[in-house]
Amino acid sequence: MSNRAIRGLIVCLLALIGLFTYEISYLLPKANAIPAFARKYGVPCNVCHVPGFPKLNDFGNTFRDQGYQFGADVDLPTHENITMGFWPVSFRTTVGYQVANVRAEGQALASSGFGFTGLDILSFGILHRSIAFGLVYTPGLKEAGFGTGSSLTDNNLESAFVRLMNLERFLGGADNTYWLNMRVGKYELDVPFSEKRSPTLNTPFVMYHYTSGTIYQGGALGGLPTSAGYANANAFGIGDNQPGLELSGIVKTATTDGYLRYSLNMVTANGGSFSNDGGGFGRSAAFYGHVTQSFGGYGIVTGQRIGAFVVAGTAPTMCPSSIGGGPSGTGCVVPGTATQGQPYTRVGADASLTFDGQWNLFGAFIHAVDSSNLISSQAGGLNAAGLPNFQNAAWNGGFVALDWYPTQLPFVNSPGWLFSYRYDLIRNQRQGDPTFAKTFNDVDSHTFMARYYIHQSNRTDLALHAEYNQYKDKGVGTNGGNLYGQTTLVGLDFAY
Amino acid sequence: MTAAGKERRARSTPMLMMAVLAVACSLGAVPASRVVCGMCEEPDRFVRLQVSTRDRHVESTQPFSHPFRWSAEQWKPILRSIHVQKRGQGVLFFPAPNGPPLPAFTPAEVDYLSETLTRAFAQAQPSEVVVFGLTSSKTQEITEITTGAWFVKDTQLHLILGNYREAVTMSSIRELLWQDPLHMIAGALYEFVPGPYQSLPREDNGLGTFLIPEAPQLALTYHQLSLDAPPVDGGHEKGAPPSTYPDSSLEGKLQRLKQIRDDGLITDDEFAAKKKALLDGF
Repeated sequence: MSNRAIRGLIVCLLALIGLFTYEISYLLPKANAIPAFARKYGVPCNVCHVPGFPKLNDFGNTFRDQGYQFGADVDLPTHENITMGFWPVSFRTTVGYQVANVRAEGQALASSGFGFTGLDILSFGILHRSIAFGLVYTPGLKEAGFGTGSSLTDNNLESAFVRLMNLERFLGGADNTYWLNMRVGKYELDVPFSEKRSPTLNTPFVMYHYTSGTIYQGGALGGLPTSAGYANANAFGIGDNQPGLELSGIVKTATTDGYLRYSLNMVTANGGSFSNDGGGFGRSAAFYGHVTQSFGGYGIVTGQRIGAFVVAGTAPTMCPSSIGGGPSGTGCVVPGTATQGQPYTRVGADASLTFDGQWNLFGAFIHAVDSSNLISSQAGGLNAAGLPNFQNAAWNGGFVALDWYPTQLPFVNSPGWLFSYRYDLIRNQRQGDPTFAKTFNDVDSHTFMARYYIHQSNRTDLALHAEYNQYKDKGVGTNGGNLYGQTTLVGLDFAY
Repeated sequence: MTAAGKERRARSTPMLMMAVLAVACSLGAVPASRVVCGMCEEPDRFVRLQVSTRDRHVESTQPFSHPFRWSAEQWKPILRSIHVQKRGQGVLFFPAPNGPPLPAFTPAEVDYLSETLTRAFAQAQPSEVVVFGLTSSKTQEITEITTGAWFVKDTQLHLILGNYREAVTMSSIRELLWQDPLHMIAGALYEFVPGPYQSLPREDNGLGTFLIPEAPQLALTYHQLSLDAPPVDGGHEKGAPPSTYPDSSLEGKLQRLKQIRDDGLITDDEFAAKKKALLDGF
């Protein structure tokens, strides 16, 4: 039997396993534990999510914006209706089979295997009325991954925050209007569209994490003949959870029948330090702001939404002499102690359009600029040609996505489906090291995804997930060739 | 294998997967339904007839006892007698007690269902079930939806609850339940509390396929229940025409007498004698 036939057989077997699991899920008694909010309030998951979690619907987004509360007594963890069934902890992972390959300059790397994506242990809720909290722990598990290594490097307290809601009441405002809230801790920034809530599982939003000079998906390239690019001291990505302080609010706007939302953040980017012994204020700081206005709804399931965001930050370039000096990054013995911050900026806009309560077309655009000093400091002041020529790096990025969650799939009248397509792109405008071609590290990425709710109850969720991604990273081969990558994931995504 | 071949293979994998899924999940077709009266189809509630298809109802090979004629007054005590309770949600191995029994339908829902079920059952074919949907607003954003199906088989009236007071925020979910009232959007949080002449059928209710989990079902011995009901309604027999007179009136007594004669329970002579006695006493 050929390898191709074996591979096809494995995929078919996986599909059958999925269907078998699907049937079994109805034969077994319902588990007495659920994703926390569904269990707490006794509601199905699609009260807050579009079918095929984890994407939030309009109500779910509003519920999140208001600090996980309805503003009623039933919110309180001490409320009489909160039974033993309420255990404010949920688990989520995806098990399945993944095929991946990358190739450049005529060489290819392929991997495939069963595995799981890691584990999220989540706890969200309120401590008391208008005091919300959130914890997400992603333990590094040696056995995780799809044949490409463990997730030990992901051992992380991904989120840990407390959020004080309705602070406007202390300023003479009405209660429960939610236009002034404060969050402290580590959390996902109010990005245009949450990556944590995206239905795609193993395909990042490229513009959220892109770094000028650093090969996209460079960690998965192994021994492929690719360029090392050029080092950039700025590792800030708006998609990375950041420790900081956020002021945010949401206001219902009667004239638009929508919502005005804002989020202003002051963060110590990527675990850096605001103030340290060698640098002073702002060495690793970033300020992030995002404002949106929706019309005729929240803009995810109903209505339309537009938004704009901006980042202004500094990233450290050098380590203090007390710990050896040298460029930040690998040269820094103690993370977050680097000095001599240099500036970077990001500005962008986003929009979300909905149709018929079943279609969501959304996208975002970003323009990024990194100071030339962020690059020259990492290269000892000399570029790849041995010359002291550097310039501010600038790039544009964006994505456009279309989600479709049909009430029932046409022709077969089957509910519970979610389909998605997303196109990510990066276009460099100016390389920090001018010896690199302008189009070096330009990225095009296409992601197709289908999800089917195998099982949903007021306690558990299980979805069958199929995702395919292909991308091209331009000119990053050692001879200037393109890098191509493809990933296919078929798995079962479940939350408990 | 060449790089191009690998690429083709990688591209074909998701296509194959999606094709398998599409075929596998194509078994949940929604049966056809028809509207039976104007008030039966309102923006926030409905009662209509739906064909019981074989893949949705294994018992459909045996026709239901439809049409079934009952008056609104006969339906009301039946509807009021149905109670549910919230299932206790424990954690791990520690069960939690069930909630207290509650009337399944509010007075307004009883009024609506009694009128519309009368009309729907009168027009139901042996292959059709009567499906219904009710909504109530929990908050400004959350609507609670109850959906299910009724059918009569032999001496028993059956009620299946697809969803009971399920919270819904998306219009597409509501639309789905309006199209397919027996689609359970989540596990059953409530269960029936059977009263007199009511039972919980142990056998598969026929609506639970591998696409649809088992829904709570209640069987009511309607003949007994209607006999025990307050004497405000007319004929209790299956197939009796709707009565417009209370039993205590002369008209009601005559109508009841005629029904008994028509059912062969008394002879024509006995009927004539009893009728004369009633008229003499008038």
